[in-house]
Amino acid sequence: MIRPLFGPVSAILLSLVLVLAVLLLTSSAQHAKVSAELYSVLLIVNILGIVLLAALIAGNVWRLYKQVKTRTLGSRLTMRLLGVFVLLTGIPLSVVYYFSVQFLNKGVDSWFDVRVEQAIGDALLLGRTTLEVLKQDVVDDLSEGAQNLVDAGGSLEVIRQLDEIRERGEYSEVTLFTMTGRIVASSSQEPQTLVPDTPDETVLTRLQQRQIYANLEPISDSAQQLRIVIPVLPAGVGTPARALQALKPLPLRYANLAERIESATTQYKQMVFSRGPLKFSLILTLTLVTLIAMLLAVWAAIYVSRRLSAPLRDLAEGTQAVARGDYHTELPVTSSDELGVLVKSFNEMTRRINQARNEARRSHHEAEEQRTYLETVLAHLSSGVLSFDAQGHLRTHNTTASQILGVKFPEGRRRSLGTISGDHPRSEPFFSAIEESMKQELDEWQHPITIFGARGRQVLIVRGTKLPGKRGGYVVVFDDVTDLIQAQRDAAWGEVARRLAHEIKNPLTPIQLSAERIRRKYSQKLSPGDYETLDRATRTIAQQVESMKNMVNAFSEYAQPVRMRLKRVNLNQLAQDVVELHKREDSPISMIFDLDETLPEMMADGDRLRQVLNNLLINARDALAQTPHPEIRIATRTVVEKDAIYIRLTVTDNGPGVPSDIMERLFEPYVSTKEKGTGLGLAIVKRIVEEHGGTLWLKNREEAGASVTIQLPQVIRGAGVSDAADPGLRLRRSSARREEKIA
Amino acid sequence: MRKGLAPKSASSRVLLPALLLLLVSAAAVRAEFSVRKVEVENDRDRLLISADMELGLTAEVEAAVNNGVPIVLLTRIALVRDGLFWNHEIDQVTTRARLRYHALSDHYVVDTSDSEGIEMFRSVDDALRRIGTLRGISLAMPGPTSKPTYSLAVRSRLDIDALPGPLRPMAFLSSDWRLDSNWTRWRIDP
Repeated sequence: MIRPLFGPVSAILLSLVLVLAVLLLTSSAQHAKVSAELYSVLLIVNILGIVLLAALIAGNVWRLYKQVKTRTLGSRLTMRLLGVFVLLTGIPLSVVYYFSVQFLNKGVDSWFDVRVEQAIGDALLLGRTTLEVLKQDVVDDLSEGAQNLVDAGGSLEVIRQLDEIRERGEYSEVTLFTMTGRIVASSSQEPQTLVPDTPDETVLTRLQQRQIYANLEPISDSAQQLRIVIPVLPAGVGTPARALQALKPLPLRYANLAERIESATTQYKQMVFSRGPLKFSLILTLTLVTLIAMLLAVWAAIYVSRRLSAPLRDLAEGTQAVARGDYHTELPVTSSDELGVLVKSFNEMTRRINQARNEARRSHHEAEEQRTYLETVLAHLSSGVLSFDAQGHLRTHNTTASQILGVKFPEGRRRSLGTISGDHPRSEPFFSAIEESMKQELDEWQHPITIFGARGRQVLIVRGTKLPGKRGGYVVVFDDVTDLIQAQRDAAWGEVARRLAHEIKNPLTPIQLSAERIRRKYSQKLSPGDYETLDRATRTIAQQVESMKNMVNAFSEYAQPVRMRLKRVNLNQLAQDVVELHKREDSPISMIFDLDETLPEMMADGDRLRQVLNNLLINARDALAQTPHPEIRIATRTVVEKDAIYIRLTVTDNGPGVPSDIMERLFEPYVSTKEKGTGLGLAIVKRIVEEHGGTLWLKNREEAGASVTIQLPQVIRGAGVSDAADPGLRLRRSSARREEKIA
Repeated sequence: MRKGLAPKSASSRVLLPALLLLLVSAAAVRAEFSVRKVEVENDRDRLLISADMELGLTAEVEAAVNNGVPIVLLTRIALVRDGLFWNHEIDQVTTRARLRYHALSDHYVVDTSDSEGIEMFRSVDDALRRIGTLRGISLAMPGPTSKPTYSLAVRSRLDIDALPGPLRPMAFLSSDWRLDSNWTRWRIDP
């Protein structure tokens, strides 16, 4: 805020004091009977006032300058206004001051004229000359009288002579005294005068030097008299010298003229002498008045500038606040002029903006609530939901989508399907299917898609729907139906096993018993030839029934859901144990291990995995029956992908390989190249691997033989963490859900 | 009893309150005026004071007098009782002497308050000598007390207030016009 250093009340008070002081000073300098002390006090008050004003102005201007430097709002306008006001007051005041000083100098000088001065000087000279003439007349008269006095004999004669001199010359008093000033005789116009007027030491000194003293003396401010003293020299030796003094009041006519000349001369000389001091005094007063007026004007200019710029500064601050987003700014309306209207309009504007913003906030809040609601609903859906814009960029996704796909979708920025697919190659079939469907611009579509995710093979049912509206895009809803399919498959196989047991296995026992009964009943009745035939036939029936029973049992074993017993398994160790069982001294087959020493432990059903390895080894061994240098290679590897660890087991032989016509179906039940066997070995392998959430593939080697590769997740899908502290089992889970279903 | 006294201190304790004026130009005061000698005589219950002052005018003031400007010289003689913080004035006499130049007779006219009529002098020095010679100034005798001590304070100065108006501002500010002996004090044993 820009505030003056002094408030308006104190400013007015100071101004009043200064104006009063300067008025008193002006009057005291000229006319009023003001003491020197008061004059000095007034002068000091004025000077202090000027210094105080100057200091205040300097302080204000300095503050203003700093505010301009720091770009405080309103300071530049205030400075500009101040400059204009100072110019508007300073220039006229300076001009008036200059001309006043000039006029004053010339005016005072014009009072004096050389001719007047000459005339006054001449008048004084004339007056003095006239007085000299008068004095000379008296001197002559007295000299004549003195001669008579010298001739006079006795005291009475002397007194008579003095009276005569006095009367003749119209003197007020005639006195004869000795050269030391002692009165000898006196004659006065006024008989009551006891002691005659005696001359002072100076006069006596002159008399002793035989000089005449003649001078005009003022006896009061208006009356003057001539004092003439002459030496009376003795006629003979031995007689002491005397002095004769005559006092003669100046005749009224002369007295008046002399008084006027004296007064005029004195006044004129006094005025001439006072010319310099008078100018000084007038210019000093004028300077003080001008300075005070100027400083008060500057001060007033600062005050007015601030007052004028205050609403504009407030407005500027207000607009800046609005620009910052603060719409609560309410400016004070201090005037009813145009600025007041402006401020009112501003307040109205901010109020409306504030209202509009509050509305927008409320709407935004509602929309946010709606969005949160939808997000909550989406988050708690068991289906994964993804939405894409028309360009195939991911817009929204729910947490289930991330969980199903094992993909962490980036927040904040939209990424294209291709980018996401590139970042998550395991889910690539899923995203490719979506991209393909979107390219075809189908309104609705549905695909079953199989991906090999972090927790193994997953089957997803993906449904896409084109979004309405201008923006377009797709919403994709997908479910993980792996568990469902598995459950269905389990149920189907279980049904098959039950049917087999019920429909096939059950009749077998009566067949077998009936065959036994036929053989026993007719063994005595038939001829040995027929009996042999009967016996062979019934035995064949019994054997085939037994074989069929075995087959049904084997199939039941395959089809029946099995309860998995998960525990930590070291696949290297397991492989070595199984191979050890297959080793025979007479066997020509070389068992070669290529094991990954760093292979982590995994969660699996060890018995089932042992069966897998067993089946694979039996198949390989059977395949190598005709091979000259048979060898079986067992390899293990750790496969680390982005967010999952896989254990890979490969069993390779150098046999004849698998015929390409059955390559695709080799893992299906009852598909086999062998003449013996149930045809379920590889099917069981496949089933166990799938139960472990793994996958397997078979391929013929280019050189010779075939290889079966099993890839199992280190942690089975749906399994909980059983030992978080074990670094080798980072993703261990128990398959509780799976076990329940199996049970 | 008649005894001559020598000044105790030319600028010792000032009787009157310090004037603001002195703050401005005390340093510029010229010692043109000084009290040379004071004689005190007991006259029954009163003191009779005779004082001789050395009064000299600056060239500026003398020029003013010669140009017809009348000047007034004030001499103040006071009897004060010395106090610890403040001196109490018991009695005082102020004599006023007016000096002006009489152009027609080319004489200096002195008009003093302590004598009747006017006196004329051929030179300004004679006139000042007359003004500086004070005789028979009567002051009340202090009571016979043991404790307090008494001082006689004398001060002579040019009265600027008595100057003609146009001259006064210049005289207020100029040190040439600041003719003041300041207070000179003598201790008195009653």
